[in-house]
Amino acid sequence: MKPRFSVGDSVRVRNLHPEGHTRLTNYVRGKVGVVSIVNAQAWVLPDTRAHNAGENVQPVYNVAFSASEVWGPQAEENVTVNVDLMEDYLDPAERA
Amino acid sequence: MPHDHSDDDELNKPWQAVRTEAIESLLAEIGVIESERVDAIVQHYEENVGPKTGARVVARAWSDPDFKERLLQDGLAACAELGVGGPETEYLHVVENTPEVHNVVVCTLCSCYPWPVLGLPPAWYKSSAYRTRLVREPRKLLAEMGLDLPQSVRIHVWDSISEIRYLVLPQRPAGSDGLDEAALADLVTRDSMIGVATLPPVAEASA
Repeated sequence: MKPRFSVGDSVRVRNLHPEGHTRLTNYVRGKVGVVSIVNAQAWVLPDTRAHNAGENVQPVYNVAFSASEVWGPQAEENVTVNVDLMEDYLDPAERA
Repeated sequence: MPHDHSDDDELNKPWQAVRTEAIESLLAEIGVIESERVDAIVQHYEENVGPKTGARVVARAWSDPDFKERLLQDGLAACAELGVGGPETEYLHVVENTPEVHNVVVCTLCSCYPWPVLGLPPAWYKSSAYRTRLVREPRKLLAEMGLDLPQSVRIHVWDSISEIRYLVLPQRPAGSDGLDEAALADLVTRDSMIGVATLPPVAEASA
């Protein structure tokens, strides 16, 4: 499976609020980050597998967010939050 | 009224423990699992698997630059060279601390943790305070946990909410140049491999 994103791409986390299970941690929803790792291995999408709605095997990325993007002006300085996210959680974004 | 200590303990058990025991006893009753097998697994993780394994991996990485290179490329494959592996880690990224960058690991959704190298997570790792505050104010939280990082050091918080697990490769302590791999492994702490501590200089450690 060819990953849609490459290292260095800017991505925006989709603002999803599913009723059921998800592994999309809510503090990065809607935030813009930069892909820092494209994992060689693909994994099942927990959101669908948890509800017997298919495995939807897909790439998993590590996305680096600056703390100020996530927490705004109250963020600590010189902090990066690196979060593992499924491809279906991400949209392309313009580089900030 | 007489005070029965064991009943009291039973009543004060956290709900998670009560629920887990209930599920276990039901699964045993219908023959899905055997209690002896569950006990054996718990005993294995309590006695055989723990942070000493990760310490061995770190000491090898400090001693052998080629191994370190392979470890940073594919953590699990390099660990397998040392006979290290097991469940709860399908992929392992090893992240290296440097004088400029400090890495620290959390799972904001639950308590994902690299079992094969660190064993079972400590209670504080699973607490909501650690899981929420490490992403929100890592420098402040680490300072409260005894690790004061200079403002110039960039903190990378790794939130391991997917199937990938993370292990921090701590900086080799000052004054450890002459030590062999076994002596180096003795210096490595669990907390330094989670990233909530660094390792003191050797002279200070043995003082």
